[in-house]
Amino acid sequence: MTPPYYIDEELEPLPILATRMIEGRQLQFALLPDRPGFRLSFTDRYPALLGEITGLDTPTPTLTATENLHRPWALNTGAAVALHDIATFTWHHRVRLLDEAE
Amino acid sequence: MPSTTIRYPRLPENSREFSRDYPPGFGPGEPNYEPDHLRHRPGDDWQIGGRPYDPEDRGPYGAPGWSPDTRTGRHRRGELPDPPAESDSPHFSRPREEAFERYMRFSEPLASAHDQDRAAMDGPGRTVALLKRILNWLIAVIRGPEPVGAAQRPEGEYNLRRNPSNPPRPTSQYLQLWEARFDACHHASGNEVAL
Repeated sequence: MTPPYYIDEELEPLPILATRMIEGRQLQFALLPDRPGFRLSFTDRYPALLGEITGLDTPTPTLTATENLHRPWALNTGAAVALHDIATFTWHHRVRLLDEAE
Repeated sequence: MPSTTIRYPRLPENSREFSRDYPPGFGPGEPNYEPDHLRHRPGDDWQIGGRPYDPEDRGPYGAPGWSPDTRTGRHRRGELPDPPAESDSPHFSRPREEAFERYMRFSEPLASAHDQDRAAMDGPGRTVALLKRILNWLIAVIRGPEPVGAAQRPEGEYNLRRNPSNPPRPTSQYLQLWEARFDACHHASGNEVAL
């Protein structure tokens, strides 16, 4: 995914390491190239892109919701905490998950 | 009281002291049986487990808010390293130790002269020393008092208390915290360097 991102544009194919249900929405965690973070995209709604969570090699990762339509949901406390935890777990197991994804 | 399946009078559950009523499934010989000598009784103050509270410990994997703890071993508790072993091995490098031994050997006459008592000197030497002291005193009286600032340490490169121009590079935050804790535990003299 390269900024700027357009709504009609298809998402760049990245290795998807996890697909999880968070607060009733199915979310995919795709490994970003050369950065400690994931691209977050929905599988069950449009627009698919939610944003990204980066800085997973630090104790305080950063969640960026680039899609205005999904921002209220992403900044909701329960969803943000679940996103943070799942991203941390997935980042911890990224090597094994990447092997399994390929 | 239900009857025990093991008829052996030395077993604690067969003694009168431990006899009690068992709920179904918890009797002797039943799957959820808890032996009396393993149950908590009034007066027992032992604890299982227990370790000091660690704010950086995020709990087991899978717990909410978990993150990998990158510290290992004794760093996890912020422990200090072991004190140096008490032995005859030199604390400095070998050439440094040898240089110090050489210095001690060759400076022995100077040290003995320093320790020598003035009153033990012989007659002429004593008289000469007395005359020198009187002369020095006269010179000091004629010259007057010295300025106060003369006795201070020289400024510039010979001042040992100056801030070094090449301070140590900043390391990781954890190491800085560790070193600060170490300095707090082991005070060094003259620790007035402005940070």
